[in-house]
Amino acid sequence: MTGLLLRRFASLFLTLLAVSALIFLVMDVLPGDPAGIMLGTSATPETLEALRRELGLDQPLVLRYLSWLAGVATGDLGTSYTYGVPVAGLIAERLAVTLPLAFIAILLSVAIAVPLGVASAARRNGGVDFAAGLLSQMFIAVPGFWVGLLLVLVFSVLLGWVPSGGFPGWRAGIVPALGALVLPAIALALPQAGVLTRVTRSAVIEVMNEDFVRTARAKGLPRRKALWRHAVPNALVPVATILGLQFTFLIAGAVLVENVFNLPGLGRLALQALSQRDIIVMQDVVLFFAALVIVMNFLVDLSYLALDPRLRKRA
Amino acid sequence: MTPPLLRIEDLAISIDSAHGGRQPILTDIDVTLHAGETLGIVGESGSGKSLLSLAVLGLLPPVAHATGRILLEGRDLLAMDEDALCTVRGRRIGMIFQEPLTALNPAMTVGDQIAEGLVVQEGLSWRAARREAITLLDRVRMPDAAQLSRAYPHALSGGQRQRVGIAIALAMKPALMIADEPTTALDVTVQAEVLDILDDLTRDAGMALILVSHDLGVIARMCARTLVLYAGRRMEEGATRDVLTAPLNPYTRGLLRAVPRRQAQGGRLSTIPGTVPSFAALPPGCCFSDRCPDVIPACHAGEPAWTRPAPGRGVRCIRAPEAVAS
Repeated sequence: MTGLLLRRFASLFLTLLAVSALIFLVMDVLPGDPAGIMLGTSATPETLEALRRELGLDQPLVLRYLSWLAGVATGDLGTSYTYGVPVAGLIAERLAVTLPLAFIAILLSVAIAVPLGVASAARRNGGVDFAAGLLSQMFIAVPGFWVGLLLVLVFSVLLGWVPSGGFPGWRAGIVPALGALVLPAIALALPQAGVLTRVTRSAVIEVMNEDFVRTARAKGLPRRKALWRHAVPNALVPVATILGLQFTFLIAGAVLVENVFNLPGLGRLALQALSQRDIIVMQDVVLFFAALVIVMNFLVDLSYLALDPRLRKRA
Repeated sequence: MTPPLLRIEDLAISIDSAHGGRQPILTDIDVTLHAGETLGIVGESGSGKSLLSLAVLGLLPPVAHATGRILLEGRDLLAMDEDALCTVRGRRIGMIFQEPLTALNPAMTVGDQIAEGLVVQEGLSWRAARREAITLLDRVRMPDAAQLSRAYPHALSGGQRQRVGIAIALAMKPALMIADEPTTALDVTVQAEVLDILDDLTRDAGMALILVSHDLGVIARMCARTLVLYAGRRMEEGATRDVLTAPLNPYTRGLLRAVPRRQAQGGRLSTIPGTVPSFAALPPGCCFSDRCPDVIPACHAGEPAWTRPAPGRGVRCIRAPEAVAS
């Protein structure tokens, strides 16, 4: 067990290292000079040169990479070119929006997908199954940001239940803050729920044919109990796998959805940093996203141990 | 006289075939079993044995359709609704399945799998039911029952898993136990032990036992009466001793000749030529006529009727009177 954890930590660390190198390279070949954008078109070559030196942009690539890495390792993520504040604080501040948003979206997608998938598996080819199939296809086919716009139109513009965008901050209270996150979370969750419903359905159908479900029925368990107590727990491993893989898309979706809803989250920070060539912020945010995805997949791997006792022994 | 515990009358089971229509599998099944009696059902794979045991439990797959009557303590299981069937399963009829590995939930401790029926059906608390599960594991001679009750199936050996299977079926003290090839997947040494446990426990509790097997040795050891099935039809029935020592149907004789014997004077084991025909391609007349060593032209004329040459004895073969005479 400890051996497995250590191995996983080592591979986690190596992956992050590789990702950081890749990010740094991509940012370097990206056109646009941060100094030029900061100073505008009227800047003289001398001031540009001075600013570049100040930002450390005149150093060779490898040196810049190593100094960035050293900073990250010691918790110093550098200072934003455009905001002039430490990037670490910037990320922490934006994380207070993106993390709850992602968390609510995951919860929502599971809360929609698992019951829907199980219900369609239980009455395969029945009415519920057909409706769930249609619904999940729709969720998958329609892009999240467009669903977001639609939700704004209905729940903000027409009904006025929730704000159409922006974020009041957590100090404004839990309810207004959550209210601002509900629509974007739904927009993020629906495409995920669509995929997850299909996966849950097929996983449960497969497990329902297993002998042990018949054993459970032979004990006198009603269909529904046999389904939820025996079939579903054994169908959760593939569901968890997909959930982990989807986290990447969730992050990508967050970039779009945060812009649609004007939320001051990490995704918006990344987009703003990109348009302003705030390279240090870009690097840090993308690395942070990568770390989130990797950690998430690590957690999914750990969840297997909880879901399947057979793996505990092997571990 | 009290009504029999189980009375199967004129049971037929067909399954939906791939190209529409229904393919008959079991036909004309008739079984009477009194409390505490033991019946062995023997037949090759594909003879419909397992379908028969699932039908008694009301757990036929959706593609299978049963007609006739299955009376348990006078109540027709085929006419019962699902809720009523749930109270019969486990409580009145216990079932032991063939594959002890796949028949147990890999994500649940064996103790909980034994206790579950008691909680759901008998309303015991989980605490009390788990205690009872340990007692049951003890009764199926599981070493270290208290500790192993917290183990998951993958940690147990095949024989131990099948003991868990027996404990699950025993938990609610059913009046009828059905064991479908309970030892087929086990090592020979473990087989004997598991059969002993099954024999002792059903005998002690006065349970009736239906043992489904392709193995005449197992049947001979466990069952007072034997029913021989072939291609979904009854071929022969009677006291196990009579069926095994004085078989009336050539198919039973073939099965007996195919049993390995220690004192066999060298040579190969006898086999029944050919294979069990598919249900869609049965020969005309007697279903065994294409493989039967004693076949005569009249065998192809029509399906032989079920006859009763003696009390408690039944056979389906037009040449049975000759066998009775000899």
